[in-house]
Amino acid sequence: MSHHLIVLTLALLLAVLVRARLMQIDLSFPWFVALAVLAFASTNPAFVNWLGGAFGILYPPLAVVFLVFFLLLGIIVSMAIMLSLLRERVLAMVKQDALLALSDQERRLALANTQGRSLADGPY
Amino acid sequence: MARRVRGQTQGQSVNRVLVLIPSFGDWQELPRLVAEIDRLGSEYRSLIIDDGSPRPIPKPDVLGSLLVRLPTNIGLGVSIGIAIAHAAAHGYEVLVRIDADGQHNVADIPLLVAQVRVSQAAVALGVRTNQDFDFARRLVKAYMNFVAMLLTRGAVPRDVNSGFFAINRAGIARLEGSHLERFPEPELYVSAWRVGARLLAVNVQQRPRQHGASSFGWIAAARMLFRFSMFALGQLFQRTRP
Repeated sequence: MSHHLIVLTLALLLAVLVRARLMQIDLSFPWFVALAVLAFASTNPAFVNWLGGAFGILYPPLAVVFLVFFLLLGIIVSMAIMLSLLRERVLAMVKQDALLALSDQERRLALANTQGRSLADGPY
Repeated sequence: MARRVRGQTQGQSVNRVLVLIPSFGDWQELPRLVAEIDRLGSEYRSLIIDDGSPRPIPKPDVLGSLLVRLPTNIGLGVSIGIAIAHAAAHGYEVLVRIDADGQHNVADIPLLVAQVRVSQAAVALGVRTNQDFDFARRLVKAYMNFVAMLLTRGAVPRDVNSGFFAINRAGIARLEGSHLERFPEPELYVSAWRVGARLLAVNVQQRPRQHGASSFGWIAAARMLFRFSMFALGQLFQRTRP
């Protein structure tokens, strides 16, 4: 019974994260599916016993709990990858923005020089 | 009377040396540094990159200096990456980097610039001859120097944490697009060697910090070690230097 509770709690947590827009729906989808399959399968004692035996776990329901931990780890790794990619994009944008601002300053300096006036004379 | 922008003649830029001063909250020394750089000659132009300081850094009152503010604190590596890209895009001959806290002597800049101009070296590195560090810092620096020497077969000067360097045009072109983040200096020097740039040591005296405090604590040291070790590990799997 405890493993059902854990799977349900995790599914609820995922739903809350998606609802609060803390997790992208595309990212959470495979984990939702995995959790649904696991929740459905764990209602079958034969599956739970088979899983426990496959992992050499004496108390079979623990196998489901371990699988839940594994899924949780998967979510964490996905999040870390996503965050890293997002960070790369943000850095690229910040860099591009800074380069544009600097190019604009260079252009203004060159223009002010071409027109033979001080930067203090005009808007800068 | 109209005053001409420092470092430029009619219709043609003569700025050849871009001096990067990355800063996070260190603003007290900036006016003096920019004024000293300006006095070095017309070919020098200072570029301040405000790395998301809590209080925006005011633009120094020196004509021709550049200032850009990043929206948040991102890390020194990104500031250096921006300066390299800007120097490449605008045809600067040499890129120099100094600290904003006044520890690097502006008078030493021409020494480094001369080295990357006349020698075969693409990168001149200001090696501090008067280092006085605490135990943690000495340990971290010794480890980084040792690993960097191993990775580059002794080609990197023995102060890979020095933030005082000059890179010539060839070096700028080779390093453009390098991925640098926080604590980038050792990675920059090893990457420079990796892309075929020659490095040269120039002995300099480091001045005492004028303002602020060093951000180097035990946690920063651990992060720096971790980052550099991962970088070094990655270098082991890279193709050998051409």
